[in-house]
Amino acid sequence: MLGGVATEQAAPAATLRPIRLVGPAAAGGPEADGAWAAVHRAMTGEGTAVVYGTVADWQHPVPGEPDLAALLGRESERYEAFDQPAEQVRFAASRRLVKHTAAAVVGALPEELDLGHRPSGGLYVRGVGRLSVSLSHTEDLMVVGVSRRGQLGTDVESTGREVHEATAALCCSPYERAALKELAPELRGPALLRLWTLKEAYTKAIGQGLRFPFTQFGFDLDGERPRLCWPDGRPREASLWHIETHLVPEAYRISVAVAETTDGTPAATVLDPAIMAAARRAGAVSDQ
Amino acid sequence: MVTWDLVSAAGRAAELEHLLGDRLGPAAVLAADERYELPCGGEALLAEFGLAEEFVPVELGGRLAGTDELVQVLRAVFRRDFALGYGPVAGSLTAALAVWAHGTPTQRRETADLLLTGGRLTVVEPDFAPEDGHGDELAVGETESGEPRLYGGKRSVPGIGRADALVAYARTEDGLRAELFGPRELSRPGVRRLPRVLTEGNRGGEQGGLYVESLPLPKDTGLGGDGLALLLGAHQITRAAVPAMALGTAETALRTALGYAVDSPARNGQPLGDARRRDAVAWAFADLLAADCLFTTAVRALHLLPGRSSLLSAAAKYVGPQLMVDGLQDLSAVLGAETFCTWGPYGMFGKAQRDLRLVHSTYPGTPCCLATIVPQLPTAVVAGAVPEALFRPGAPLPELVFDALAPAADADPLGGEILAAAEEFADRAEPLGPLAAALAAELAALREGAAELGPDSGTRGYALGERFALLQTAAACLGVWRHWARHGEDAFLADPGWLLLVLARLLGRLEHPVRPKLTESAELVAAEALDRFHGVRSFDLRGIRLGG
Repeated sequence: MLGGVATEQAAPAATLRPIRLVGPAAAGGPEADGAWAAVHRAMTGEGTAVVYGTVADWQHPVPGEPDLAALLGRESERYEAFDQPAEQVRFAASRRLVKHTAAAVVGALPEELDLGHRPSGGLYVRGVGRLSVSLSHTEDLMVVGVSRRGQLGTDVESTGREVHEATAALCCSPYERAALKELAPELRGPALLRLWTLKEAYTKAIGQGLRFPFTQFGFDLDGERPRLCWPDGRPREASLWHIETHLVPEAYRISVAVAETTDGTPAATVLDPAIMAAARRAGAVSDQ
Repeated sequence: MVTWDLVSAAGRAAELEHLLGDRLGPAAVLAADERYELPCGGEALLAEFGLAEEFVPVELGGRLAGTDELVQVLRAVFRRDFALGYGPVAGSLTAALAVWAHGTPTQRRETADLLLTGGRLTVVEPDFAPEDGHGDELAVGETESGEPRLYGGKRSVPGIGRADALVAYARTEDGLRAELFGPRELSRPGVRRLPRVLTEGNRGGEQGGLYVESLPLPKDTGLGGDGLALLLGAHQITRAAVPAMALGTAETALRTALGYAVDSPARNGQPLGDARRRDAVAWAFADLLAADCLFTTAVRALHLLPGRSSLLSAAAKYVGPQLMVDGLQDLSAVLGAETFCTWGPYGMFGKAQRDLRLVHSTYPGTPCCLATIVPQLPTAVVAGAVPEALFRPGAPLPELVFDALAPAADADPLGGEILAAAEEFADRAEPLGPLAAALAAELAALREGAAELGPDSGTRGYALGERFALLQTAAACLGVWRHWARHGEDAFLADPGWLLLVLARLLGRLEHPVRPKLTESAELVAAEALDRFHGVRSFDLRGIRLGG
């Protein structure tokens, strides 16, 4: 039985179960309130939260929202540049979900956040260096991860998506290819899909995405807390990585990778008021 | 026989390069890192060179004259091992700067003697994020008889285990108080050094806590002046100088990645024979050059533009480490699985990534730079005159006058350079014209946003603060090319190819839509990187010959 190693050892319990958000905190009724409370609990307890929602949930302006241009800020130009209305709807919905989630975590208003991209493509909230964000989507499902532990990546695929076995040669390590071959044929597709989302989540977390060779690292083949492995299947000293993969009831697989690089103190950019006051005071003096 | 020119910093940097290059190999450094130790014999080599003298002003018997020279010397250490350089810099140098600035003649003399005879200093900084509620700092209270006493604790103090003296910043009701404690105070009952804390970056670095139950404050240990002003002044120097030194670590990562590319060439037999590798190397080298433009300018501004250097130093600490981390992240696609190796011929790459991430994300030091920038944004809409000498690495500098380092600037330090460049390049058809125009447009948008900022600007202010820092970086790069590189003898630096790449990448970070095709520039920059690899030259603006 392959991949059994992970389950035989007492694998740590999964703690980053994705939370479905159907709308912003203020407007969603008891169900939404419960979900947002879970987000805050996850941030307090784990320093990381993974949420998801559908385009339909998030495509409409939420009560009290300024106009879309104000919400999107500098990204309005990107919104305008989409040819298809459906793409615009999806883009706006994804920004609403990201900004509401990140804003709730840092205690800001969604429209105050300026989303930027790292040169490698990763999303971040400009000027709030202590918060990592990750966005991924497939079909109509959007997944957002937020963390104050360190770099973070997420990925989502529909479980109905067929993955051709030839993909394994392109994206799997030698160990993974051998392990997949030993599985019953009907299990290979789901196992490959699981590996794919894990690899996407991990390479996004290290800021590389598809540019990083997927055959050069791997995971074991089962469990919600997979271990990061060398290409030959030996586990990597991966204490720095917290990796999870989950199936959600909507029939999607969601994977997340977080580097545990910081101590996890609160995410808001809290700044020494004395230093700010000194700079203000000095500024006021030099103005005179 | 080689005789070193010990008088000039360039000569001393070269001497140290060769001393370390000959006697401190990567295998020993990696093995020590694995054990969370400094490389065996590393400190002895630095002592043999006389590193401590670099921290002591000339008039007190040392060799410290200019900050840019200090950076050149220390960069040689950071190229070999981050922890070996970071220890003395974060401890002895940072503490000593405060003593040189505000110490009494006796305190200065004693501190100089301590350093010159092999002693070590460290510094206990205040908690920069007091709202976190950890109370991770020392404070001044009163004894029962009404005398001032020190109490509290600090979890991470660099090199506390072996420190002979320390500068302690302690919170008072209305600010900070700075004290210089020697062995006498450190051995008092109620003063305890806490065990070492291991960190994932800077593994060889020794950090521990300090706990003070209660220490009546002696009358003669205070450093003069206001403690907060002293801290802010010292920060101006270290925020510019320390990341500038750490560029050496990023250089080693690039060298390691190129070593891998040479050892395992692309399919066509060329080390950088496919576009992905070539671009990764070109972008990473461009990021290092951009960082050095920013560092050079910020360090020189301490001497040349002290009234506005608070903004530049904060920008250097905020953006510089990010540039290095981004560049290394691109290179990891070249190395593949080797990125994760902690041993072997490419192990230095992963080590550099870990170490630089520490400079980059050290909380709250980096976000705290925004605490300097954000309140000044409304003032920074005023363009100040930009001295050209800021942009000339190695050109003579006036003395650094500590008390001239203003806690807040009266105008934008470098923005004027963007406007001047946009004007000069307005008619250039090549990418330079549009790139400079795009930067000028970004500057105008920033100034508009900054003028609208209220006093309690929140998250919007932080975002603008970051944009400001990125634009200062772009201005530094433009300035270095316009006022230095294009007139110089180095054909690579005189060509605008590297500048185009640097500016395009900075505009991408600002989310500006301009995306010029820069294949030729990328080829040029990648070829130079490979050239410097084979010629064993540094990947900074100076391109000096390295040891080892």
